Amino acid sequence: MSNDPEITPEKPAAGDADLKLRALIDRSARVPVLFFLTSSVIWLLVASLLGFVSSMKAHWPGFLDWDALFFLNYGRSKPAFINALVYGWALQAGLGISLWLMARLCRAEVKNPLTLMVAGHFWNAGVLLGVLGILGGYGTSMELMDFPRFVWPILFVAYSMIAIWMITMFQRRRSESVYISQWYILGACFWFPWLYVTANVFVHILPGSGVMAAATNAWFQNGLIFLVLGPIGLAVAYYLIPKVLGRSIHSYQLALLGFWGLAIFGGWAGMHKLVGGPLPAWMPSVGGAATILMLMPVIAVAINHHITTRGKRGLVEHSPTFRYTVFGAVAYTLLNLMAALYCFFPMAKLTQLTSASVAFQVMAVYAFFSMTMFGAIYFIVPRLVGREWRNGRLINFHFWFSVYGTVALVGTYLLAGINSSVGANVWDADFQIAVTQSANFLRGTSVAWAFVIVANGVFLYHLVLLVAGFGRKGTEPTMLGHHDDPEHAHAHTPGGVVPSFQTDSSSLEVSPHA
Amino acid sequence: MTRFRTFFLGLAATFFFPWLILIVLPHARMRAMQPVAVDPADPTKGEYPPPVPNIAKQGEKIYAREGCAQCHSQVVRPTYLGIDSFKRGWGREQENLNVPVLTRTTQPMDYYGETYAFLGVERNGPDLSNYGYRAPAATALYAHLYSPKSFAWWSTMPSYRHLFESRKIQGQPSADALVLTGEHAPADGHEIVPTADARALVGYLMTLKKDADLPGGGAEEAAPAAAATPPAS
Repeated sequence: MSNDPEITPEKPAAGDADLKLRALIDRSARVPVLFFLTSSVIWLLVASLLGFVSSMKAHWPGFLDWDALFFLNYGRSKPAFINALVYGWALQAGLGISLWLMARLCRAEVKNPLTLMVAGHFWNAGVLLGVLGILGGYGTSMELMDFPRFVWPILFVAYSMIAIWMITMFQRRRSESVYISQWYILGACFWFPWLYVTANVFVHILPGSGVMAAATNAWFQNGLIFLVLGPIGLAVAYYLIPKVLGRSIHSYQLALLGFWGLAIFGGWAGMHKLVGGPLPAWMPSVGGAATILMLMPVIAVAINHHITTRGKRGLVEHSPTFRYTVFGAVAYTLLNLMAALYCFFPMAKLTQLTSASVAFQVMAVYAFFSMTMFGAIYFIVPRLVGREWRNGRLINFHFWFSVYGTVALVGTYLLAGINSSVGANVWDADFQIAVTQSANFLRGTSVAWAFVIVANGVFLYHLVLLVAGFGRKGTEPTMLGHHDDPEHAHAHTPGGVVPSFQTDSSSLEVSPHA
Repeated sequence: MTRFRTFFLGLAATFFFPWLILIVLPHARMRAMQPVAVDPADPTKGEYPPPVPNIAKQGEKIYAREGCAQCHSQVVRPTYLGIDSFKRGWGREQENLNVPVLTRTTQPMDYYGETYAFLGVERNGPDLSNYGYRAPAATALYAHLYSPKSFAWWSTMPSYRHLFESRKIQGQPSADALVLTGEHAPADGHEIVPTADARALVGYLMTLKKDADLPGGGAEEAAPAAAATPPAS
């Protein structure tokens, strides 16, 4: 099946054998990857609904306030929403996409998909128990570790099965080179278990100092965003951007700098969230310094992507994959700027302990990570099911509703946070100012959530149609905008891009010996 | 294969040091911290931190499970990050609210005995570090949990009605029964009383006083706080 028209497979001139191998890999990966992707998108919709409910509760506690629905109180629905979003959607989608990327880049078929399916079911069961647990009154009120304490071993075992599976796949790779995307995926495979076990053991199994438990939690949250979701998102960007454009990544050195810079600084960051808290002052200071230093690798990645896309950025008009991935990549840079800004005292004073922290989480999990994952899903699923997305308009709709929703969410949560902080900082006033000043922005978050729900509902519908076999037949990928225009379509035919490979035959292989 | 090994060794080395220095060693040191006498010469002054009643430990669980920490913080930050330490009514001063009494910033040992320090996520409601000073009588606090809007029209706090039960009055009405009128009023012959969970939560809230006297007197704060830490071994 040669529906790779966005071209640039791993090899420059894809021969028959090569196409066959890729088709074989896709077929072997089909069941587990589709399982992870569809269930994660269902979680995404659930999380968006919970996000809407919690955002309504934040300014109008009387919303859905019947006696039987007490479990939707803000204190429960908000952690349920953010944990469903991170564990149900983000991590699960990230795992599914990492599996596929790993198989493709190792040029190895998926062996033993049963392990993956078992692990996937465990993961979903764990998340379900966790979310129901929070709503049912077993939550822990530890941010991003809100699941009841019996849930983490389930998630950990499921994750370990998948991570070990990915590492063994990497060990039996047939490709000669190691790709940048693989560094990042292996990095995420390595960091998540370490972070997760450390955080849970020090909080649940060896509790000692409550303050240190809170500090560990802050460190874990930051690690989850920058050392797990970050690498997976970057792996996707490093794969899709050159792939869609049909050229190689601009610089190997910059990529190295980006990766090892993250590895070196990432582990130190996180406790700056508790600046001014009851911790020894050096701990938040180290976190803040590391977060600011992280800008170095982030800028390296940004420059690398920027130069790689030079002259071809117009493709955002037509290729859904490219459009989402570019949005996500830009959001990653902004996310890191935001994190660095939050470290400075004047900014920390405005954002700490307010809904600006939710703005940050939405920026990380939605604007950066989810948008990148959408790009990957638009790219991967047609290859797995052998059909194309039904309708470019639905993709366009999903994109714009997601963009408006996300930008509005980040903006309104941020402004609500800053306003409530300013209000709370009037020493002789009632807390009333803090509440009333931020109320309108919190109402804005509810509107933005409505946008996100509509977007994700459409996305789920489109995905289910495709997976259920109602996709469009054909080999041309579904494009946006003027895809019927022959002149434009021509630019995307494989033939149009191949010459650039012949002049640059190392393609996107970037390996230490390349 | 060697490159693969080098890669993982590199990852392990870069992650091991922050893990050790930021997480493991501080955990070990802060676990070892023990209460100390406020004034070794005068045992009547008790210990820092003062012991916490059992009900507070039960209430802490309810506080966690209801997600109170989503909107209420328990931290007093230095003045360069906020005015927590002299916000009117948040500290000890309850007689004359216009004369703020400076509350000291929270220290690690203020959270001694808690499995997790609920420093807070968002501050959609007031800080509760020193709520114990301003807490009303238990019955008023029950009513506040039951119907927050009846205390402040602008409050965005949800009602915790599910921590209360309506039961038939048998014999004497309960002393803790809520006095409710209007739509919340109980049916005839019934009364609305707090469950054990609500009692625990209220017990916890009323004991929140995170500004206990530091060893060596309140005048110098930084030095005595350091004295609470065990000497470096």
